[in-house]
Amino acid sequence: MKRTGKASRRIPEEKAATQDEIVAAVEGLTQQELSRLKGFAKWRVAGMGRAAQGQDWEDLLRKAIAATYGGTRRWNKDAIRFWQHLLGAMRSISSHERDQFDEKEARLESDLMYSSADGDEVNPLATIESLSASPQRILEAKEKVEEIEAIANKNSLAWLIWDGFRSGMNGPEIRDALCVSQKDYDTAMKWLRRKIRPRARKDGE
Amino acid sequence: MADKIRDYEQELTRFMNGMAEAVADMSDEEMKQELAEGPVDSEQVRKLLRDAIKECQQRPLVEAQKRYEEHVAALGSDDFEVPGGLDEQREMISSILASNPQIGAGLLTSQYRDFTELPDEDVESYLRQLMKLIEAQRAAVDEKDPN
Repeated sequence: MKRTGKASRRIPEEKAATQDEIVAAVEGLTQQELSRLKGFAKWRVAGMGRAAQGQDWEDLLRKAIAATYGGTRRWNKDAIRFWQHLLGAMRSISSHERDQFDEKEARLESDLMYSSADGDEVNPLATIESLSASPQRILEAKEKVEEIEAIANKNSLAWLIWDGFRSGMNGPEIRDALCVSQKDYDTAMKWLRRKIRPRARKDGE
Repeated sequence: MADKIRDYEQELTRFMNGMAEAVADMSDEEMKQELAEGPVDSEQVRKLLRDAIKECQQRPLVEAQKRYEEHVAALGSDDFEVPGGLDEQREMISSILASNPQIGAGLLTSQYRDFTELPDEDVESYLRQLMKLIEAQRAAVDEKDPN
């Protein structure tokens, strides 16, 4: 059989929840689920960094529900719960926007590149970047990282969790690698959540 | 680790996303405990979801309204001289329709089978549409028979 490309991950229309079912699902969300949505959105927006471009957690959640209701991100109600679907939508939207932002920046830079008379590639932004935007971005991120490290330094397990996350590990991988109990891990995570508050970067900050 | 090879932005993203996943993985019991220690106005979140849905529902209406306003503005920007009073506008429509009955009928919707039923706010726009049609018809005739 001829393959036409990548298999679609899109949920077939017949399995997608109707708009009435989506409205009913919003009304059915529990207090815990609503709080989870807010908490998740706050951390994800904080993780977008400059790509958030002034958006906050409300904007991200609003996009997720609008895409669901509008049918661009279908909810398979027989497979996952509604709040799980919204988390997935927020995960996907924030990653996509971050990737697009990085690509846009890269494209802007490559559009300005040209070949010199000697045939060498010249990047006019190379010198400007090194004097302004890029170092500022790096400096901002470095300051935040140092802030987190100063806090995590006060709790050895919290430090190891930070170190695991920043290296690209996920929660279960960190727990396994450190051989810590779920309870100890949860306690350290709770401590981190209390000490470090997610904060989206607003324009002009 | 040497500063040169550290990607601080990536480290931050990975950490924040890791914290987000930890919130996603929290059990209802843990969430209850968190809420007991630091209450969250969860109804504010529900309201946000409701409002976003409402906005989606109203979007086609808002867009239709915008299109209508643009259309009316476009009609108002033509060079026709239209009388200011409603009665005069209705009289003018009567007179145009009397001499061009086939044109006016096409413009009337099934809702308003007779132009006298037209609501006041639609009279001027209807008159301008009529005038545009007549102008277009004249132009077409002139093109066919330039003499």
